[in-house]
Order: sequence, then C-alpha cells, then structure tokens
Amino acid sequence: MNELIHYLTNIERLAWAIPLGPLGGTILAALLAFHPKQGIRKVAHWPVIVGLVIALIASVLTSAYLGKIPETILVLEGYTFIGIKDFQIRWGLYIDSLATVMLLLVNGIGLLVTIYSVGYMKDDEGYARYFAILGLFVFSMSMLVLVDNYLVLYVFWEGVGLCSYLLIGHWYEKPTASAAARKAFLVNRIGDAALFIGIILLYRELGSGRFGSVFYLAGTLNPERLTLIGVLLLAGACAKSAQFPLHVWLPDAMEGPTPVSALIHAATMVTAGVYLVARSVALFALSVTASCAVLVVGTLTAFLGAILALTQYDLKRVLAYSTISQLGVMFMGLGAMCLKSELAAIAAAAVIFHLVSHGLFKALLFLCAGNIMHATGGVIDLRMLGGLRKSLPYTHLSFVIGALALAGIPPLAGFFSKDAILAVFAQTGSGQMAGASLIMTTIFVLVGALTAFYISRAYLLTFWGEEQSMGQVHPRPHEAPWIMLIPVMLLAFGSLIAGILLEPTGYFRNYIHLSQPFGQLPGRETEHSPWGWITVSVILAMTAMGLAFWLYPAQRQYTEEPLTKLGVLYTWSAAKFFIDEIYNLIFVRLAEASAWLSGWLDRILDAIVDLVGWSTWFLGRVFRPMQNGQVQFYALAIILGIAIFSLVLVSRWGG
Amino acid sequence: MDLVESLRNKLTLVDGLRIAALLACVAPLAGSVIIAVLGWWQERFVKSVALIAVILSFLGGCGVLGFYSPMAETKRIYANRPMESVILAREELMILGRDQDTVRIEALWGLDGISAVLVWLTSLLTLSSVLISMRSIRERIQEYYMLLLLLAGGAMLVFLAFDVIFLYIFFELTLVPMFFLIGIWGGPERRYAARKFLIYTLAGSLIGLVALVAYVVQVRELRQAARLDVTVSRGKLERPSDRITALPDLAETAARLSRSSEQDSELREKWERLQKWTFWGLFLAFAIKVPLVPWHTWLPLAHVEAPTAGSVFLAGVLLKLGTYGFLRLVFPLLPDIVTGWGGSLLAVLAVLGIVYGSLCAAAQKDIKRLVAYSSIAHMGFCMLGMASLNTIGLAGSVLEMINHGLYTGGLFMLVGAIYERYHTRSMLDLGGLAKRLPVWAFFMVGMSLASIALPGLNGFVSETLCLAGMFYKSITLSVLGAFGIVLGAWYMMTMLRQVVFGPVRVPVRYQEEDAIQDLDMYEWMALALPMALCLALGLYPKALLDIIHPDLEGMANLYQMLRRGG
Repeated sequence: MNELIHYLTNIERLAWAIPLGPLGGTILAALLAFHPKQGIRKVAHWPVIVGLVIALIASVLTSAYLGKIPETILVLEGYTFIGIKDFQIRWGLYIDSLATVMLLLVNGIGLLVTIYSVGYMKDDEGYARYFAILGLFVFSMSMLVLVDNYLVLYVFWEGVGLCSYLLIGHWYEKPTASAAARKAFLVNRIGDAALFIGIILLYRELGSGRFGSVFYLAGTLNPERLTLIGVLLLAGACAKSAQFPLHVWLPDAMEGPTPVSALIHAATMVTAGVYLVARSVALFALSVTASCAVLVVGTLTAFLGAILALTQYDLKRVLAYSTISQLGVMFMGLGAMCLKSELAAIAAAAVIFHLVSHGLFKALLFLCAGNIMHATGGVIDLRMLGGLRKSLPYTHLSFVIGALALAGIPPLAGFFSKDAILAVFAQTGSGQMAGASLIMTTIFVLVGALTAFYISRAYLLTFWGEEQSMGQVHPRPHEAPWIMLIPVMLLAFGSLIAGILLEPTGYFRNYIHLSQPFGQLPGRETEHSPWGWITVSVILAMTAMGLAFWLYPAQRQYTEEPLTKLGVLYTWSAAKFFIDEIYNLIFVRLAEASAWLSGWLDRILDAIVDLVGWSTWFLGRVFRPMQNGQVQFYALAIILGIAIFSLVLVSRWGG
Repeated sequence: MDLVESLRNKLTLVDGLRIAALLACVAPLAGSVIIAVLGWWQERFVKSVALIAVILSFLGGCGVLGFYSPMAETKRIYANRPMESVILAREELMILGRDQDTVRIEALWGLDGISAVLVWLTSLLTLSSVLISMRSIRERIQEYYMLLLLLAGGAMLVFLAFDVIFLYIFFELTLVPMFFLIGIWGGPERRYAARKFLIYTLAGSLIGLVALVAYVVQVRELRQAARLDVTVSRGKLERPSDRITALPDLAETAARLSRSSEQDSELREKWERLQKWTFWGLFLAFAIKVPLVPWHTWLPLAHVEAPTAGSVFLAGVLLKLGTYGFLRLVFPLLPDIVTGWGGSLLAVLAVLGIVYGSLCAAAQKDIKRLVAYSSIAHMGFCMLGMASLNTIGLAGSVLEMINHGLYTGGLFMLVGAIYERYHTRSMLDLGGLAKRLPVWAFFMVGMSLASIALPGLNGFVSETLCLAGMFYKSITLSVLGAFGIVLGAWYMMTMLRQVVFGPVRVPVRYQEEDAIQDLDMYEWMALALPMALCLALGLYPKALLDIIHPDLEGMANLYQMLRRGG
C-alpha cells in the first residue's frame, strides 16, 4: 500500500495525471456515446467526473508541491511531436505557479459545472456526446496552460476552440445554434491565423518556441520583430478572449447550453487570451507598442462591453457582454505595463487574481441563469421574467452574491481583485505618464460603475417586480434540484470568501510570484493600496446601484425601459453599435463577392481551355480537304514544300 | 521451427523490403489479371479476388514502411548521395556504343523514404476504394475491378521506378484505367470529363517527355564537355556511371555540373539553358497534373463525374504523381533553376492555388466540387512547402501528400455515400444529416476538421511544416498562404452547417425516417482506417517524418550549398 502511495505521489506522474485524467474520462464517455442503448449512454457523466476529480486532486497536490519549494519550475519532457532538424517540438509540460493557479480554476470550475450538467442536461438526447466534449474541453484547457512551448500551446488553443464550437452547436438542429457555432469558429480562426503566424515567426527568429528559452532570449530579438510578434499574439488573444474588434462571436455563443456558457464562455476558455498575454509578459514588457496595443484593446473592450450590457434584454447576453467587459478590464490591467514597464509582473499577478475571482462569480451568475432557464422552461428574456425571488430562493441568494461580487462591493471577491488592478494603475501615476495614468484610472472606475448598474438592472428585472406567467410550458417556476444547487452554492461561497482570504493576507500574491512566471521583474512590492481611488470606485458603484433601484422599482411591474430616454445612445447600444452589420457589410460580403468572382473566373478559364481543344479540331476540319487522295496534289505539295524549305535554308545561310 | 529460424538468419532487411514491395505492387496486378481471365465466372468471385488482392497489397505497403524505417535511421546517420535508394532490382535493357562511349539503358527499381510512404498510401487508398465500391458499383463489375487494380499497381510502380523510362511509362499508364473508370462508371457528363482529363494531362506529359529525352541526351554531352567523366576520388581514377537513364546518376551529374560550372562561364551558360528548357517542358507536364492554377480546370470536372473510388484515387494518388514528379525529376535534375527563379515561380503559383482554390471552393454548391477545389488549395500547400527547398518545408510537402490523400479520400467517400442515398450532392437540397445519419456525420465532421488543419489531426502538421518552411524563404508568401487556413475553415464550416447541422432537409422522396440507412459495414471500414490514421498522424507524425526526413535533408543540403556558392 505504501509503495502504491509512493508511486502515485511521484510529482511527474501527478503532473501528467492532470491532463490524462480528463482525457481518459473523455475517451470512455465517447465510447459510451456510440452505444445504441439510451440507458447506458446516460451514465456517460461518471467517467468524466472521476477523471476531473483525479485531475483536481493532482492539481492541488502539484500546487502544494510548488508552494513548498520556491523558485522552482517543473519542466517535464514529453515525447517528440514534430522533430526535423532544429524544428524540435515536444509535448512537454512547464508547471509554474501561474499554470497551477489556472489549473485549479479550470479543474475546480470544470468539476462543478460537470456535476451541475448532470441535472441540467438530464433529458437531453446528446447526453453522452455532451459529457465527452466537456471532458475533452477540460483536457485541452489543462494542456493549454501546462505546455512548455508556443506551438503546442497553439494545438490546444485550437483544441479548446473546437470544443467550444461543438458545444455551442450542441443543439445542432436549431439554425441559430449551428450558425453561432460556425461564427465562433471562424472569428476565432482569424485570430488563430494571426497567432499562428506570430508563433512561426518566433520559431524563425529564435530557433525555439519553448517558454524558458523564449523568455531568456527575448531581449536579443530585433525590436521591430518583437513588436510584430507581440501584436500577432495579441490578435490571437483578442479572438479567443472576445476583445474588440473580434468580440462578435461571444454573445452569439450563448446559444449553447448554459453550463457550457458558464465554464467555457465565462470562466475558462475566454481567459486563455489573458493567460497567453500574461504568460508572454516577458515579451510584451520589452515592446512599448505591443503593450500599448494591449492597453488600448482592453480599454475599448471594457467600455464597449459595459455599454452594450446596459440595454440587452436577454439575461445570458447581459452576462456575455459583461464577460467581454471584464476580460477587457483584465487586458487593461496587463496593458498597464506600457505606462511603466517595471510593473509588468505586478500587473500580471493582479490580472490573474481578477481572472480567478471573475471565473468564480461569473460562472456563478451563469449557473444561476441556468437555474432560471431550468425553472421557466428556457425563458431568459428580462421583459418576460420577474418576481422569481419567491420561487427560486436559493438561486436568488446566489445571484445576489455573484452580482455584488461583479459590482465590486466589499468584501466580495470582485472588490479585492479590482482593487488589485486599481492599485497597479495608481502606481503608474508617478512617472512621466501621469496624465495617461489618470485617464486610465478614471475609465477603470467608470467601467466599474457601469458594471454595477447593468448587473443591478438585470437582477431587479429578473427577481423583483410581479411574477409573470411563462406561457404554457412552466406555469409555476420551481427551484432547481440539489445536484444543480450544490455547485451554485459552492461557487457562491467561493465568491464570498476568495477575495478576503487571498488578497489582504497577501497569500495569492506570494504564491503567484513564487516561481517567477512573469520574468525577473520585481513582483512583491505592491504594498500601498490607493485608498482614495478605492473609496471613489465603491461609492460610484453604490450610486450606480442606487440609480438602478430608482429606475427599476422593485415592487412595480416593468412596463417600459427607462433607458430609452437616453435617445440615440440607447438605440446604438441596443443595436450593439451595428458592429455585426458593419462586418457583414464589409468582410462577409467581400469574401462572398471574391468567392463568386473566382467561381466565374474559373468558368472563363475552363472555356479558354476548351477553346484551345476545339481549335485543334477546327484546324483538322480546315486541313481535311487536303487529304483528297489525288497523287498529283500530293506531288505538288511535296515539291512546294521542298522549294520553300530550300529557300528558307538558302536565305538563312545567305544572311 | 528450424526452418523459420534459418530463414530469419538468411533474410536481411533488404530482402524483407523487396518481398514487401513486390507484394504491394504485384498483388493488385495479379488480381487484375485473374479477374480479367476468370472474372466471367461469378460476381462474388471477382469481389473476393479484388478484396484479397488489396488486403495483401496493403499488408505489403505496411511491410514496406516497417522494413524501411530501420534503414531510414541508418541513412540519417551516414551522409548520403543525392537520391540514394535501396535498390530492389535492376536489369539491363540495352548497351549501346563501345569503350568510352558506352551507354547503358537500364531498368532500375528502388525505394527510398519518399517512395515508401507513397506506396503505403497507395495501397491503403486502394483498399478503401475497393471497400467503398462493394455496394455502389453494380454494372460491369469484372472490368471495373480489373481496371481499378491495374491503376493501383501501375501507380505503385511509378513510385518504385528509379529510371526515367519506366517512371514515364507507368506515369502515363495510369491515365488509361482512370480514363475508362471515369468514362464508363461516371456521372452524366462522363464522356466529356474523361476525354478532357485524358487529352489535357496527356498533352502536358508528352511535352514533358520531349523535354526529358532532350535532357538525358544533352546532359551527357555536357558532362563530357565539362570533363566530369573522369574524376579522381580517394586517390584512384573513378569513372562515373554510364547508366544514362538512372535517376540517381542523373541527379548526381546535375549536382556536379552545377558545382563545377561555377568557374566555367561557357559551361554555365549551356547548363543553364538546358535547365531552362527542360524546366518549362517538365513544368507544364506536372503543373497540369498537380494541378497548379491556372492549369487546373480539368480537375473539378473529372472529380464530379468520376465514380467515388475514381475520385478517391484521383485525389489521393494521381495528383501526387504530379507533386512526386516535381520532387523526383524537376527538383534534383534542375538544381540551379529551382534555387533560382523556378522555385519562386512555383511558390507564387502555390500561393495562388491556395487562395484561388479556396475561394472557388467557397463558391460551390455541389459538395463534390467543393472538395475538388479544396484539393487544389491543399496541393498549393504541398507545392509551397516544396518550393521552400529546406528540410522543414520539403518534409511538410511530402507529409501533405500523404495527409491530403487520407482526408480528401475520406471526404470523397463520404460525399459518394450521400449521393448513393439521396441522389443529390447539392448543399441546397440537404441539411441536418447529423440527425438522420449520425455515423456518417461523425466521419464527415472528423474528415472536414482534418482538412481544415485542426491541430491534433494530420492536416495541421503538414500545413504547419509547409508554412514554416516557406517562412525561411519568403515571409510574405507564407503569410498569404496562411490565409488559406482561414478560407479553408470558412468553406468547410459553411458546408458543415448547411449539410450536417441545422434542421433536417432531404429530397422529398426520402422524407421518411427509415427510408435511408446509415453507413454499412464496408463503408464503415473504408472510412475508419483513414480516419484513425488522420488522428494517429496528427498526434505522432514522427512515425512518417523519420522515414522521409533523411532523403529530404540530403536534397535540402544540396540546395543550401548551391545557394551559398552561387
């Protein structure tokens, strides 16, 4: 027995168990999915849950192991994936504190969402398929944060994209779902192509894409090339993390099952872009242009997402735009290094903290939305919801916690994580960029206020007011079963205590800087908190919430949207700034037109080839009368031919 | 036991390789003969003979890979001459002249890493083709299997021929069975399609033949003029070979001519002129075959009209003859041209093929046409990698030949299966088939994902290598090629959304739930093998890369040296 324990607790085996647990579960679930018997397909969640439990335990143990030995990075060699001369790529693992933090988030929320799905997807036809893909997703996501080089990262980057595609299109018979799945894949493919080019460029410039050597050699890169690589990596991150201008796929992705939205489109996959930039901070910190691009993209998206979330009527879309906005906040935080590059490591640590806390409360909010859909038979339109606080008491309480965390109200997780990013911005103010820093901090606080407003609006419209009839489907809304409530409550508990447990104690900060995942930059001296800004931001958020309570009175029936009084601003926000329409008009039309043109050009080409073919036939027709069988004619032709030939010869010799 | 033991001691790896290669290419040819002679007897007999022949052939193909891979390891360690192969058999056909002027014409059968993987691919696709034809071909069965097996055997012999004569003969010979396969068992416009296919490709390859003959004759004269005929090596006089048609000897002569003409400007001029004219002749022949845009117009038509197995073979093997021709003839025999403007020309045409082929694919409503145009784009990737002239790109190029055969072959089989069932291939008439044919849909999604280079499946590895190889030569072209990744996803995903997902839509006659059956046993087997290999080669491409790598490294080193010297 002791030997067995000893065997299993070998750190290398433990580390490999993290991705292989879910992979094994997936393979079993996929095999079950092909089984003809309905009853057997319904047990497909077990292998996935077991695999995830193994992965979670292994992640916890690995994190603990790393915590014990400071300044260690576990680098495990895998077998060779591609090996030609100096293009050597292995399936190796690179485990540092950043990776383990991401792993805990991915496996933890993954497990909770999988358990939740057992209830949510109970009567679904594609039950086994769903769990197989969910397991595949957790595997790919774990590998994404575990791998030790950029090309294999790209492999799993697309892998999670595939799972997202398949899960958005889970109810593939719905035209909207299959269209949304395709859109998500294509928009991501655009970013992926940029990322791919960036990665290949990195290999070409440095001869290697392994994290260790890239960060070590980054300083030797030609600055222009470095900037180019940074911008290309950012473009990839923009697509995956739904940043402007590639954010358009995420709202549509809400067509997928709600647990999927919680896990993939809120807590984990969409944060892959943030992870990529954080992982590559050593590259970005060297290029002002690239890091400023991160800041600009983040700021625009944070603001845009928050404004669009104000006027949506679909609860899931409110949450989706909120996710976009919060991811923008994370990019903003990362971009702070362009104001002061020494802050890169501190900024990245703060952003990763926000990533974790956002993962908790946003997954919570989405699962609450799932409970609501479960209760109302799929109705999610805020205009048709109302008064659900009575029939869904636990969901109501959980939603309140999630909403307060999102709004950044102390002492919930969101407050502390936003505070950490705010502290970074406050520290940028001392240098030459004081003006820019002030502007950024102001925008940051404003986005916080908008966030507090839109989440209060969604909350009030859902849970307060008169309870409306949901049509014939579910005359009486009912609370979700325990298997769905327990994950929700665990997440609510997490959102409640994660901030106060990890931030003021400095526990998270110390841990993430343990193995110096963000390079050699100083990481632990962010002691002073900008109390002034924090107070301002909390007061503004409270005011925004008060405003929401005033505009959407809790006891009255919701009849018309008060925000319509904003006029043009409302129209534009409700129409999502016409971004989808503009893209359709320019890019989709352009692509379709060029395809159409190519199709026609091809017909013309084909006609030309046929013409050449016909010309030989035609020549044959022309010369056919010459074969008339008369010997005299042939003799004449021969003589004429000889004469012409000799003339030519003579003239050439003469010349 | 003793017998086995003694046999094992006597047989070397080379013997094993010989037996395997013989089995791979002779089994289909023998099957073809048996069917031709005894096929009148019974339908089941024909099918069984065909099946046994292709299974044996596939075993032979696997044997070729198995026996060759340890040799590749040796080859990697010891530096090699250009196009060094394991000689399977050689036979003198003619000896002309005397003493100094002796000219030997010889049939040389050999095998190197590139031929090994291509023979294996051919044997695999033959197996799939026969399996997929079991149900769908109901007329003139005897002739059908006879031609199909003849085609397979002929194609494999192309890959084994290491002399220009037999390479050319079998290259042309594959046209004939394919002509009949399209012309007899094809769709409504089969005659037109077959004729166009035959005349177009034949016209090209005849020009290629002229160029090749001229090259063989003139390169000998040049060699004599350059006094390459007597060289001192390791202290003793060494006469170069007088085998004027053997490819390895030709390749070595070309390399030496390029090197020794660096000082001699008169020789240089003659050598470059010879290369230039030969290049144009061979270029035309293979550009039509690959096909490179704008010489591709025979391809969509031939694919649409061909029977399923014909399409599988056309895309999987016959197009590879074009790329193989570039790799085997154009690249080693004309080294100065390909390191110069010829390579750039090929790279530009390859990118054009990727972008234009993808856009044309996006414009199609007929799924089979769409797959045919996607083939053009994939062959563009293959040529792009080849034109990069470095080991990475060349390896990507050879790997793309294999991978494209697997997933495009699979896609053609899937489209064929749909046509069998619903008698339409139009995306407008079909929809939501995942509901009706779940197993079919599974394969369709899998093959499509392999085709759009999704990591984890095989297309990703080869296209990555092709683009990465080109990155060392021209970043612009490589970036333009990377556009193909987005465009490929666009047309494939659009097709999937239309046909596989969404609400069910089938022609009126087949509205009832049970009217149509999902894939049968034969189709399942025909598809499962390539699908499994798509996954396996996506995760462990090293298995094939190790086999092809040494040969390509030898080529790449030569080009690198020429570029540096020149």
